[in-house]
Amino acid sequence: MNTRSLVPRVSCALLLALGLTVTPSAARAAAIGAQLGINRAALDGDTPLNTAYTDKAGVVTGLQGEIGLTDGLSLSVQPSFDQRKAGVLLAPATRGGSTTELELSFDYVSVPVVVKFAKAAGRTYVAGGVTVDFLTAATLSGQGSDRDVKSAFNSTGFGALLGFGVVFPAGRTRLTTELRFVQGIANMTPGTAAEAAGALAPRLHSNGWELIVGDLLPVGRH
Amino acid sequence: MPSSCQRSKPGRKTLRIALTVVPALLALVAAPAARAQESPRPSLAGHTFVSTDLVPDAFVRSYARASLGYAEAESIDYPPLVIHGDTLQVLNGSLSYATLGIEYQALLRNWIATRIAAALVSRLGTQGSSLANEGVTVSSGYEFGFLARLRRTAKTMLCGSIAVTNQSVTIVDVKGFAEDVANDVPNARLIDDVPTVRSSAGLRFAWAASPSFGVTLLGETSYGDAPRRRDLTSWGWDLGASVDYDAAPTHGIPLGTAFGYRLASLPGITATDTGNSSQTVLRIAYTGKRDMVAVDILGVFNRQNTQATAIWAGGSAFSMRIYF
Repeated sequence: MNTRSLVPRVSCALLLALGLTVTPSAARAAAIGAQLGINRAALDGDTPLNTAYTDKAGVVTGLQGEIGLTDGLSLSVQPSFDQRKAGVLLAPATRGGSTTELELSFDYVSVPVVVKFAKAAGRTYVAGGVTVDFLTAATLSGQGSDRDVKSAFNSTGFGALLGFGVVFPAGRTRLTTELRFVQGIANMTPGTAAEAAGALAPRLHSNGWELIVGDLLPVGRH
Repeated sequence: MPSSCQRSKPGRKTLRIALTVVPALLALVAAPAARAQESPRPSLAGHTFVSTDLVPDAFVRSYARASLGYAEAESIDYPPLVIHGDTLQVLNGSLSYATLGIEYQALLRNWIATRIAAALVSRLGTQGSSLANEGVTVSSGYEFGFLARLRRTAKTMLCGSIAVTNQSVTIVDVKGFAEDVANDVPNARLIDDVPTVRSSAGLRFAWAASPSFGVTLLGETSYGDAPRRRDLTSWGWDLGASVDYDAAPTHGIPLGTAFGYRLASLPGITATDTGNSSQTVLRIAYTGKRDMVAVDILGVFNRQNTQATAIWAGGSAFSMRIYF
């Protein structure tokens, strides 16, 4: 079964399952807000011969909407612009030569769907969920002009996340700081070119830490 | 192995950070006082289960676990080593296994918990023929997910689990490297790395047959990168069962024992898919109110070797588990 064909189906099933848990009687409070953060992305998987990946920092920014399900349990949807960067180190071709470093930069529109479990009277929470990612740009830079390498990667991705957050009440708003780990589940590369050449399709997954601060403003009835 | 790619080192830095940061954060949210009336250890109908690492229990609890083990398979017959027409004279082979595992599960509600785990398994050919044929294999990775209670009766418990696993198998292939060099294969590689990311879902069932005896069943399915590198993705399944005996109700002594069996469709320590593998464990444990210290007698039966013949390995492990 192709991973790409599985991603939308799994996403729909999970979103449906999460949606079914939201009932009007259970919905207690809703909030909307914005978030901004940094990620320390990593690529994990095959690399070309004599190369290695290194972690790089990127930006995460977006909106968040949250709705209460039951006491201390809420569903959060966080459409975001997610920039993931990784260094590509190339070993020197000759003895005494220098290592070449390139940079791979991916721009995603990500839609994390997260369930938050409030702890410590709502001052902290544990978040777990899934993220559906849509690739908007992929650039390889570092040797001359930048190269658009978007066609070498899948346009959609799918991942799972686990995070821990702290909530700071500030008047009507709530300021949040969250550290989360995101693991890409779907292969980032289609591998069609490699397979056509008779080689193994490469495997590549993103994973990394994200530190996100945000605010949530309550809306509707409380 | 025809490949345009070299396997990179997996996210070991990420793993190290995860093992440091995540338990610390999750420890902050564990709430032991929330279940003051309930035993911290998994119990039903007066029976306290003796959990094994092989067949995890079906209870939503907070705990931390660490285990360390060793196993060995001796007198394995390998065919003569022929490298570029030369036959090497070597004795029968033997394989040594070492395992290391840590796990932390944090209660989020009385019906759901989140868990993270990391494991490392190494296999080393400890005689000439096994070192040449099997080389050295190290399987390492991490896993995170959730465990939720689905149904509870007076004597039974049913839980569902979902998880994501990132694992890599690093293989030092001595024989393959020697053959490639002898045959002038360009870019001959001594070390190969097979990364896999898989998602899994499963059910765990516990039955307290009596105050002394309990049964735990496990069924899991997984999907993701195939361990066999030539395949892109694959499905897999795991089945497990354990029977445990707790001596406390009848004899008043804090000792228990458990026998567990697990059958897996996917290879755990090799990139060669050569059929199902199974493991057994006989656990003898001190069972305190909040902790369990166990000695395991391990048995491994698999075809995860270059000859695809069944190999028996036996060993022992030490495991500690603390419930919060």
